[in-house]
This record gives sequence, C-alpha cells and structure tokens, in this order.
Amino acid sequence: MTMPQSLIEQIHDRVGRVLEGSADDADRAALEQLVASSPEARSAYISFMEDTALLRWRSATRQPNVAAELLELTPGEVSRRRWSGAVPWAAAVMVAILGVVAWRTAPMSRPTAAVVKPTSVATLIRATNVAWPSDGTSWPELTRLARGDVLRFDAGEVELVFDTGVEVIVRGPADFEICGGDRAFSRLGKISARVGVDGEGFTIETPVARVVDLGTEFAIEVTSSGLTDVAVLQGRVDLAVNGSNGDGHETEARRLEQGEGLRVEPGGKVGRVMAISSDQFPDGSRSDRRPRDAEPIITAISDNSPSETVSKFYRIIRGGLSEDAPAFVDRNHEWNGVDSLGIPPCLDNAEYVMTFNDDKFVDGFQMAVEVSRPATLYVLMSDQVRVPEWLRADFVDTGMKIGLDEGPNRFKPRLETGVGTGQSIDTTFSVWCRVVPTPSTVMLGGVVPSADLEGYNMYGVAVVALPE
Amino acid sequence: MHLDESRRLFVRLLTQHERRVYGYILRLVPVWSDADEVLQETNVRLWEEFDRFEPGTDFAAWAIRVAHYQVLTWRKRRSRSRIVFSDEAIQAIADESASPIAEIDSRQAALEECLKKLTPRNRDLILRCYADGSTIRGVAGQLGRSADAVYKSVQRIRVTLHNCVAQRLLTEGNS
Repeated sequence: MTMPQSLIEQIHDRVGRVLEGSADDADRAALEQLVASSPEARSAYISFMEDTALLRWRSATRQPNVAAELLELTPGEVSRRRWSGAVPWAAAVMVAILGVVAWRTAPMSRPTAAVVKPTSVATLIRATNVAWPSDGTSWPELTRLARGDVLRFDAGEVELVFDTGVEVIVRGPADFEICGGDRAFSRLGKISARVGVDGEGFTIETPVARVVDLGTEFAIEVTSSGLTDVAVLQGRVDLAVNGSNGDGHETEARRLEQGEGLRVEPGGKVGRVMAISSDQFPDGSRSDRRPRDAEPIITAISDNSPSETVSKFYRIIRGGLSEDAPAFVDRNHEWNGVDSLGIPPCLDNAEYVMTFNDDKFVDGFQMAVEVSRPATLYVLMSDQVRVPEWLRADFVDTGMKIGLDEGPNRFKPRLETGVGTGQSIDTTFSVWCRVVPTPSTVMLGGVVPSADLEGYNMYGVAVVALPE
Repeated sequence: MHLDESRRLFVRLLTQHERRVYGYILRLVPVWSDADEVLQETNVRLWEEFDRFEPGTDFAAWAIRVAHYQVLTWRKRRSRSRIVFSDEAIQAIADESASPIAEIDSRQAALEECLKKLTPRNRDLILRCYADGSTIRGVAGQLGRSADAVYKSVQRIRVTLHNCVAQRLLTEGNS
C-alpha cells in the first residue's frame, strides 16, 4: 500500500542528519518519537531504511584485496584480535570479515563522492591452478570485481560469486569480462553458472550468442572461433543468436528448457549439442554430490532422433552413479537402491549416462554408445515396460534391481524425491549387462511400452571398466 | 594457497546474503559509520560461529539473528549520547522486521526497476548522495547547488521511489 507522502517526507527529514552522524539530541529524539508513534510509521520507516540500505549497498566501491591475510586467520585467531575505534568502512563483502585485518595492516581512506569509482559487483572466491598470462593481470582470491574487469588466463579455474547470488565457474583458457552485476561477456572458456531467484535475468554474452538466465543452472563453452555450446542443466534460459540473418542482428530468443542444448556457430547456424560430460565443464555441484574423478570410458554418444525437432543432450557423469544420482537430463528423477542395501555394488561409482526421458517416445530409436576401453555396459530397463528384443538378444539380465525416485514433472507435479536408499522409490528397473571386450560402438534400441501403461521411463546406461 | 571448503562456503554465503544483514542492521543503527562497524563485527562473529551453522539451513535468517545480538552488544559499549534508539524502539523495530527473506528480495528487485525509471539526472543524483563517504553538503558543493536544494531534490526522489516500489509490490502481489 502506498504510504502517505507526508510520512515518507517526515522520515526522510528525521533520518537525514542522523545517517550522516551530524544529528543532535533533538534530531535523535524526533526520529525515536516518529518510529514509536504508530505501527504504520514503523512499517514505513523499515521500508524506507531497506531502500536506503540498498542504495548505499549498490554504491559499494572496489575493495582492497585482503585474501592473503584471510588465509592466515582461523576463526579463533580472528576473535582474539582486538580492534579499536571506527573501522574504515564495511559495506562490501570480504572487508567485512577482514576489516579487522585491513585495519591492522593499513587504514583505508574513505573514497569521496567526487571520484566516481567502478562499482564492485562480484567476488572471486576461488582460483585453482590458474595460469595467469605473464603480461596480464592476475587476480588473487577474494578480489572484488567491477564492471570492465577482464579475467584472462591460460589454464585452471576461477569461481565468482556475484552480489546477486549468481555463482559462476570459469575454466581456462578463458577470456571473461564482467559487464555489470547482471551480465558478463565470454570470448573464450568453459563456464558453469548457477542462478537463483535473485539472479534471474543474468546474462552471458558470447561473440555469437546471448544467454539470458531465467533461474537455472547452465553450462557454456566458447571456443576461440566464437563457436558457442549452451546446455541447460536445471530450469530454463533464453538463447538469442547473433548474425543468423547475415546482418549482425539478433534473432528472436529461443527458450531452452532443462536438458536442452544448442550449438551456435559463427555466422549464426544453430545445431544440437549431442552430449556433454561432467569433466567437460567446471563442476558447479555441491561437494557432497560431486562426481568422483575417473578415467573416461564413454567417449561419445549419438542417436537418430531428428535434430530439427529434438534439442536435448546426453550427459555423461564420470564415476558418478550413487544414491540420489540424477537419472535424466530433462527430469528431476534420481537413482536409488530399492531397499536398505543400496544400489547394486557393481554399479557403485560407475560412469553413467543421463539420457533424456522423452527419447522413449521416438519410433525406431537407436542410440550409439562409443566405449573407449574394455568394459561392462549396463542397461537399466524399467520393469513397467516390455523387454525389447535388442536387449534380450545382446544383454543378460543380472537379476539385480535399481530404483527410480521420481521428482516433480509436467505429468506428476506433486511428486517429491526422498533422500537415500530405499526412500520414495516409484518404480524399479532391472539391471542388464553385456561385456564390451574391445573399444567399440554399442548400438542400443528403443523402449517398448506395455499396452495398458500410461506412464513409463526411458532406460539408463552405465559402464564399468574391466580389470586390466 | 586456496581457501578450504569451509571458508569458501562462508565466503559464498556471505556474498549472497550480506546486503540483507546490512539492511537489518541499518534500520536498528541508522548512522552510516555505526552500521558499518556493527556489520564488520557481525561478520567476524559469523565467521567465529560458522562451525555451528548447519549447511543447507537458512543462512540469512541465522546471520540476521547474530546481527541482532551484535547490535545489542554494540549498544552496551556506546555512550548513551551516541545511541539513536531506546531499547523499546529497538525491540519494536525488530519485532516488525520479521519479513520473510523473499519479501526483502522482492523489494530490492522492485527498487532496482524503479531506479531505472528515474531520469538519468535524478538517478545520478540519488546514487551520488548515497555513495559511500558522501554527504548532502558535499554533493551540493560538487554540483554547485545549495545543500537545501539538493536535500529537497533527494527527498522528492525518495518519495517517488517509495511509491514506485509500493506500486510494483502491489501489482506483483495481485498477479
């Protein structure tokens, strides 16, 4: 509800001198009296100060780098240090916990409003094995980044957190420019971005495309030619392509949903991203479900789906099959053990493929899985569908089962996933296997639904290397 | 040398939520320099207590709770003459500050949109006046205007912004 104008003006009058520290007792008393006068006045004051805080916050200027000092301090050490007097200022991120350190080393001077400084919009929170060019800028951990800052490096990864909460990991070789609190430009590099509600609208531009996030997690790879791959891991994005009309103008944005990926070539030609792997992009997942490092077994996957109508990709997860592992790129379903014993031991930490569930609708479907070394290839086939001939002919039913814990989807929006083995299992899958003795391409077929079944799922694929 | 996982998680969470904590502190301690000081103390305390924070729970809510007690601790150290609000007023403001984080976020998003609607001149003026270290008198000096004129302009812009934000939130709530 819009407050009476006079009340906002009164609050502004009372707060003005107080904020600047030049208030006298009468000024403070007047503000106290106003705030105490009514719930309406208090509510207006809180709203006014919330806006005031944001206005102040967004003007936060670049902070000094104090990463080295932070790394020397444990929480206990921080607490033992004493500080005195007014600290220099504390609006932005790391100076906050480290202001005590900054005060210890060198008092900062207050910037003056006469000098317009670039506004810091993000913090570099991790730099792992980064090879900064000898003739360029190196950016230590905890550096505050402002519009116009460009991160160029030849190898390694940096992780940025924008003040809006957007998390971005960039893997080199990379050329990544901060264009503002809600946008960046990537000329080169592999990027994972996780965008929360606050960050919706976050935009990454490349030489050939513009990706506008709509609350999601996505990956982008930009090569030196500008070729851009975009893959949506969660949520959705809008993708606009530069120059597809040959005139440099953007086409109308195309919406990509979870599990969809497109490749944009220089010149604007658009094609499907057939497959991505967990080691291809920086890992933006939380450490507790981070796939383990493992040597690649599957080197390529393709299918015969019409690329004009299908834009979904396969996602290969190296060493990642475990409890609650995501099952499909376009659903939020998870693999789990069917009971307290957990998933079959032979599949534990297996490399696996997140297929896309809509594959099951394609007539005459075929999938080609390129296996690079001797391995056992497993197919996880739903017990709700008929066993297809191609599976019965080439694979052996191990007798083992794995469960699918289904998450909310367009058919069953109220579903929720559980956590851990045996929890919230909706359907069971039989584990079929075949040995692939030499590097080769294995052909898999489609799903054959039962006549009386309304809902069913695509199969899963996993591989385990044979002992050498 | 790299931040270990705990520190990295702390930095990530603090980066994402610190502005909300600052907003809470500023309404209880409405003096720029004092709020900065309390924010720093709060963040040190958050880092000290971080072992007790349970990952996956609401960091912002936890941080605001810590900030509240840090405000009370800070007030005990200050002379009465420097404190703006009485204990009763602090409690009353805190009691009415229990807005869900989502509401605060909506307000901030609305304010950003409303800032875009200002004329460039007004937007420049308001951002200058709220920049760190600035005063109305200082900005007036830079612009060659009287402090009173700048003050009145800022007041008009704040009213405009307030009404714009309220309208956007109302529209959003009805949609």
